[in-house]
Amino acid sequence: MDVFIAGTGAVCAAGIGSDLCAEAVRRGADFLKPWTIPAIPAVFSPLCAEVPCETDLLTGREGLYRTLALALAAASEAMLALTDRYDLRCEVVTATTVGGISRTEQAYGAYRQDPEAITTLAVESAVHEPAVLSSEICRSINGCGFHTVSTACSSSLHAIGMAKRLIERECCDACLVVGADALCITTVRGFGSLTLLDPKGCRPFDRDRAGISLGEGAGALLLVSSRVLDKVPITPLAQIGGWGASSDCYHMTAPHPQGTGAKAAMSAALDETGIAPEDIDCILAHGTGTPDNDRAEIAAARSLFDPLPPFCSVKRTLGHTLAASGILESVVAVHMLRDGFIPPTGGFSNIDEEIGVSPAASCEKPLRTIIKNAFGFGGNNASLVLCRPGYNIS
Amino acid sequence: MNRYLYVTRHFVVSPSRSPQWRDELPAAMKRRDARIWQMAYAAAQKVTDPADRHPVRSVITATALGALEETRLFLDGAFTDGLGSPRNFIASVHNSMAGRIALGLGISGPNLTLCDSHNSFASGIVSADLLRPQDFPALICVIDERVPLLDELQPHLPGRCRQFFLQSWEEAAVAFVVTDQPSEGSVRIRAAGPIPANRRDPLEVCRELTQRTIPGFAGRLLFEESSTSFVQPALSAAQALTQNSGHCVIGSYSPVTGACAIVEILSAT
Repeated sequence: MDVFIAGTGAVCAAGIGSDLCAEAVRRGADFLKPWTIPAIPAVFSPLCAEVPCETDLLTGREGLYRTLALALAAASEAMLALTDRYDLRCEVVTATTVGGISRTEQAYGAYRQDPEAITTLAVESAVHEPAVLSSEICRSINGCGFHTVSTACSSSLHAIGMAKRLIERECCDACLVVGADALCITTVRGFGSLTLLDPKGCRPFDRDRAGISLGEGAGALLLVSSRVLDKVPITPLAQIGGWGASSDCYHMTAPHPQGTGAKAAMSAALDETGIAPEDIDCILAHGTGTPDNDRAEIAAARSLFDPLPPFCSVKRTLGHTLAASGILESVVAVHMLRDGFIPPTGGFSNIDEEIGVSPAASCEKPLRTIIKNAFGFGGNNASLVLCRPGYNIS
Repeated sequence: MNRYLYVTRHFVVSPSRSPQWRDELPAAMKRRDARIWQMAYAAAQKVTDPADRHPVRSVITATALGALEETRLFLDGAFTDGLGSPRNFIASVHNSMAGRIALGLGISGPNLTLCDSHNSFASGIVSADLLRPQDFPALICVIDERVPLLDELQPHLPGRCRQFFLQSWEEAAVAFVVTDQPSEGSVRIRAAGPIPANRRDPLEVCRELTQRTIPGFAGRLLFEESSTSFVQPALSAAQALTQNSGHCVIGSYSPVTGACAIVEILSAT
């Protein structure tokens, strides 16, 4: 059974809305600015892609923790595609790394100063678990069930892959997939402690790249089966081809230098789609801007694709939104397929001789297929093939 | 309901029942790794053998809170001097246990982590069911640990949370190897949920879910005990497997998500 994307939702540094997000990526907008944390000692203020405060994100969502507010905004947009529920069984698959930790951080900080604040910490910790995010999204759309994936930066591509297979197994008719992560002390200071934040902002694939730039946001995709399309008036935006997952078995934080795990994930995604490497028109890379990751990703791609298709990274515009990155960038991929363009790789200036190739220049180009990669801590790899609707998968 | 998978091996690491649980771990791991990584690894290595004719090809960990103690230690560092320890940060990531198991045991297939509170075990089984045939056998490792902060918080939790998260809860890592094909002596397992309980009585919701997904079910529905903590559903499953309990369903309920799930176990006999 084929699985299609019926609706998209996005919240990113550009603001709320898939169109706004894709348009910002297409023009290579740069939203990076210093992110300061008042609650803790000011060691540094890294450049981050923060969702602007002036958006009406929190209107009607006062009191919610930030990751949930981001997620609900993206989910609402994606669900606009389904104006009537037609009694469809709709599941939810959510991806997050931080969940409600921003609340825990605040309450824990207060508790450290005053042990009497333990009652507040106990209450606030009720939203700490990632599953709370899923249950709230599920409640908001009257869904019939949910699952919560947390595999660091690859989370939301796995979530899309799982949702695809839930639909194929006829566990549900439709599936809302949401990936969301807000900026918080743990991730900003965590990546800082690993010295993985580029003080000049991320420069994917560039010779002088020195790390990532964190971002925050949420992406959402409403997936439906071909059977649903037969009876519900929905125009599919794209088709989910295949999902590939693998583990590097190399190091807890560094990728395998030759990208063997990444290659296995891409290869599995192609296999499930039923297409050959030469059928891929563009690689929307994980492209974080760390020296090791970018080198390994292109090494993996070169060992699979001959010739290497055009590739790009949109992390300079969106920031690395962790668990949201795979799905937020998949929303961009849907627009690339629909409108026929390859966005610029912001931050790239000079070719890295070790990588040996440059990302594609921004251009208009009809695209039939895109492979999207996302790789996470623990050597966790995910790849997803997206196709234009009507693309003839053999 | 999803299809049946087949449990070929299982093992429980329960520090309170087996104080010597770390004995067989590599020395470097005992020195360096987070305690929850060690628990997960100790359970995983007991059920996997790289020399096996059919070695494990994928890993799914299921956890509610992951390495919460590492998160706390990291935050202590961040609040003190602005930067926490990178070691604590790496260990605090929810999928770090799955990554550590894959790295240590050389499992290069899919690597997933499901975090569905008390229903994580069921969610892990549903996820395993979504794997491709070539990704089996799969290792499912359910894990949560007791940490001092949780013990401190427990008496202050809202009533319903306390009811489903007892002060005396047992921390554990419970590992299962599952295949998609039956073999001699293997026990059938499958899961449904999590589904929203919509503020209804969780036991009733589990009963309904059981009747809907296993029409005519006449076995035992375990709920009271299995809902007392995150890992208890997996511990109940391990006990049912060990005792060859026939046909039973393990219900679970998460007070923070308000959702229920069930796991069905059907012995070979």
